[in-house]
Amino acid sequence: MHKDIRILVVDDFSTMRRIIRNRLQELGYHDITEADDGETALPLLNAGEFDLVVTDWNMPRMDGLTLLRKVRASEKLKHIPVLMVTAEAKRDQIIVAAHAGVNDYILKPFNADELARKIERIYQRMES
Amino acid sequence: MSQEATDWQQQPAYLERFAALSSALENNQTDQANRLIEEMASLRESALFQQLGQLTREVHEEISGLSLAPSIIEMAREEASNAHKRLQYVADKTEQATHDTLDATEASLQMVTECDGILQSVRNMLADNSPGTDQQPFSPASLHETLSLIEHGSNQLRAQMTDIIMAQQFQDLVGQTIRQVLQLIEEVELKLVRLVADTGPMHDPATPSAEPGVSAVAPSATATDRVSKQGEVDDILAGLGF
Repeated sequence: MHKDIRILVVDDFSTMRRIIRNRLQELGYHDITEADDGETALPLLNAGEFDLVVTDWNMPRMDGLTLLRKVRASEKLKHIPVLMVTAEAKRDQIIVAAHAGVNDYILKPFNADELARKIERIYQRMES
Repeated sequence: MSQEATDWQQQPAYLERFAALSSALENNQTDQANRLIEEMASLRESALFQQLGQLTREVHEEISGLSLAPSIIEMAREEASNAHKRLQYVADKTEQATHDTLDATEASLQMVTECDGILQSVRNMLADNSPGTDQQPFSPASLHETLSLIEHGSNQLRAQMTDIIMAQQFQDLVGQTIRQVLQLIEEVELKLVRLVADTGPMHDPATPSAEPGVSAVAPSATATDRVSKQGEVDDILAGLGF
């Protein structure tokens, strides 16, 4: 798996963005951009060439599910894998996210290895 | 009681004054005609006030019939219980994260102490192998063993530091929960404000507003309006004399 992919981390809590960034850097990913909600993330996605979106669900202005749906509805963006990292633990919500086209789902709080495992799995599925 | 019913009850009085008005107009009795017209207008206003009074009583009785006091208690109990659970979650998460951080920090400090011991043993070995001493030369095997110990300690330390970083996720979870509790408190406050607006004393429209430029808010008008800011809540309370 290439470590030079561009990753967009979307979360309204700066602490969580910092933790995810830290973990990604530990894993060898260094091209990381941050956005504090879907509203900020969408123009960044449209303007840049991102290879992965790691997004929270509950955010002000535009939540992660809406962002996911907009990404999937866009010809330009629909191919980008989206990993949801969220505290939303309800089964129905996970199903909704899956139907909306999420590539994987991590429940907060997550352990240090989970992020690596999920990213690896996303790219394995894409390559197979 | 409907407007039509009230008007029907007043019909004889209207007819009497109407006949007198016709007569006064035919006889060019202008003052008498004006007085009769004013009386008829007064009759209509009186009917309107009667109807408003009746309506107010009915609304009050309807609200009383809903047993609002127990429902308020129930609402407060449910919301307080909800808020209590959420705040307990905040306390638990904070406590857990603090313990995780302290555990990892204590383990890290222990490793630093062990590393100090390794470094000291290396220094001792180097001193023993300095020129002029009779000790055995510093063997590659012991050097390899020492490096392995340092490498192991370094990896352990990295893992503990990662645990400390990951433990900080509590801030996100706790922050979300506190937001929910704040929203819940705001909703309860709005419900109580609306309740006071619905059941409180009628505001005298002649009474000027306490603040210039801010109109006195009629309770019935605010009952259905949604407010979204604390300032709006304060205005409603001020309009009710709080």
